[in-house]
Amino acid sequence: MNRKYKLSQVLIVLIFMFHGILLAQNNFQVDRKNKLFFGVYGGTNVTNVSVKDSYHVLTPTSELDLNGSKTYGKMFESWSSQFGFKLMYGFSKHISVVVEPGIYTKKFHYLTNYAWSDTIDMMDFSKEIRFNNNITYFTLPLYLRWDMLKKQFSPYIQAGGFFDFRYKSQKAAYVDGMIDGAVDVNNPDLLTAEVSWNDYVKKHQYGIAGGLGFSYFSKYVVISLEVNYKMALNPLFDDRNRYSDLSGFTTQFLDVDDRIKLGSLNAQLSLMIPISSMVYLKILRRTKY
Amino acid sequence: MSSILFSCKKDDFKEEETYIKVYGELDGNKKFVPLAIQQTADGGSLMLSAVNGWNIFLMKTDALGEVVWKTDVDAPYVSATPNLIAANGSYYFVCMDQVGLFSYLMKVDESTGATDVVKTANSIIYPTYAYYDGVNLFIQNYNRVSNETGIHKISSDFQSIEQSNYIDVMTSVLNEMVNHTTFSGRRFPFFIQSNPERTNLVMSCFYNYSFSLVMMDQNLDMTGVYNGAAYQGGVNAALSLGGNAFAIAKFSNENQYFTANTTLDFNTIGITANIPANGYSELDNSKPVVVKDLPVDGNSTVCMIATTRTNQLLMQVFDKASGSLLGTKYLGKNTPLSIGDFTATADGGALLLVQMRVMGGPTRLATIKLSKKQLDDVIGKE
Repeated sequence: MNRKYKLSQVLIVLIFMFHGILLAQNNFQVDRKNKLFFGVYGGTNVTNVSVKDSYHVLTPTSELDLNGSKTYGKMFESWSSQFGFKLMYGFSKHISVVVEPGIYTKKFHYLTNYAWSDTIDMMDFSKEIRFNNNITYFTLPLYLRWDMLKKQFSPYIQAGGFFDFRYKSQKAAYVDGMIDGAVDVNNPDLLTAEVSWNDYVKKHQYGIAGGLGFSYFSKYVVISLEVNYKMALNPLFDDRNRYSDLSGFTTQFLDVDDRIKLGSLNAQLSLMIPISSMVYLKILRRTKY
Repeated sequence: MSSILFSCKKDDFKEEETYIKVYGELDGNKKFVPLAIQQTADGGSLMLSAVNGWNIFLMKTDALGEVVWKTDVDAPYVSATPNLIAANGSYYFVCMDQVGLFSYLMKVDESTGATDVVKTANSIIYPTYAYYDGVNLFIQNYNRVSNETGIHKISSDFQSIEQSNYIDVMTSVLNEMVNHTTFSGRRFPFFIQSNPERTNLVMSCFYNYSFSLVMMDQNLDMTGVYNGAAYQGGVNAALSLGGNAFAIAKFSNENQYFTANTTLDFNTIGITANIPANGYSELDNSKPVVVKDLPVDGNSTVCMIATTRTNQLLMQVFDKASGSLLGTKYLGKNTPLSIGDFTATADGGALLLVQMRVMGGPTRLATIKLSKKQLDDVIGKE
């Protein structure tokens, strides 16, 4: 919640900053047609988990047995990052195509717990486990972007798709003995196991993406701030390996992955330079053109 | 482009191909010992287990391993032999009553879990094993009065005892039998196995001051024996390959041995120590060893599943004709597993019934369903 609030504050400050620049630079128009821009971007993201089918190892033999149900973390509880290169080519003064190859890391977590009572020997049992998933992709988003204005300061919207190639993924299990809805992941004693999750996560993710932002085109550089949402169309985990227990988690923690799809909300800042002509840019033209 | 096309390929994977299910029980005091499993016609399974000692527990699951029904068999019936017999479209097990120790053949209603007594055998006390050769049912027992091991051939309609024979143990093994039948101590690997020709039987039982492999003919007359080393050595599993060829698992003190193809002399008086077999230093011989026929990649193979000293399951697949090892698979990493039984499944896979200690806590029943592809991977088939 605090992070969400801070993000809002940062965005408001940036908007006011750009507002001043906008007022001072309204004598120029931006000619993006047939111009190529290249740059870098970086930012932060949060992941939303959409559960399509639930799976479990512990099969209840009684309706009263609620052991093993999963509670997924909320969207703004796990923050991660993305960065990469940005390539933009303007087909016209308003329409551009944008490619952003880079590294994109997604994080999410869920809690589960188990408890049995022993009324004879008093050997009661309880465990609460938090599973942290961390997946890093080589990402290749492709957008069609529409700049609303020809001015230096231009808000824009973009839509398209993405294709992600899994680079690596990991899963960690934190276990404590008290069922209270929380496991302290900052306590290293609770980290029970951390394994590669590559065999379970599909090698590719693809989906649709879209967002909005605003850019400022100066004489030599383009600064953009944007927010995008990426929605995967294929499930994250491989159905075939779900119960294969290659990691040992299935029998040790009674853990199997649900069939889920990930959505990702990201905010990022980018810096680009035009690469069509490095000597005399001719990007900025007087309003009469 | 090929990556995009590959990721769009339709997957024909079915969820019932592979799963791991651990069967929860709210009562933390309950302890389960898996005994036998059979796949049912609907793709599910029927499981026989012991619970809290010698009490009998039955459970039916569906094709996805989910519980359909479960039954605690009422007193006085206790101490089921580790066998679920599939015969004439129904399922049966043998148990005894806790007072008279008489044997009962029980029929299980697959749809409801109800059990009915099909045959009461007052002359057979302390049943230890039941074996169905496709025609006749054989029951092995221990007679505590005469200190003899008995073997009884039940008629094909399960209504009468056709033949019986007894062999002398020479000493009382009542203590051992009480511990075995009450699940409060050492469990002995009693079994009966017939060759496909039904000309000979082999039986692992108490005989002549030891735990031995006794050979019999079709009339249940003893023809030979491989004597065990008192009760510390013997044969814990056998699978007939036809004629006098067998796959044999044997134990000696703390050591476990196995051979996928050896010949037994039905007319010999020998010792189990002389049966040639390979040593498996990692196996725990106090846990069951299950040896069965398992079709893999369309071929009949010998499959041996046992428990290692680190509480993993070791699964090995052997060529039936040559006895050569085709592949090995370990199941379980950080959780104690102990095999109870396994069966081949109609989809070319295998279904294992195991005992699992859940997160260091209570012991529970679990099933592990291996797909055809996983079995093909064991033998290295692409």
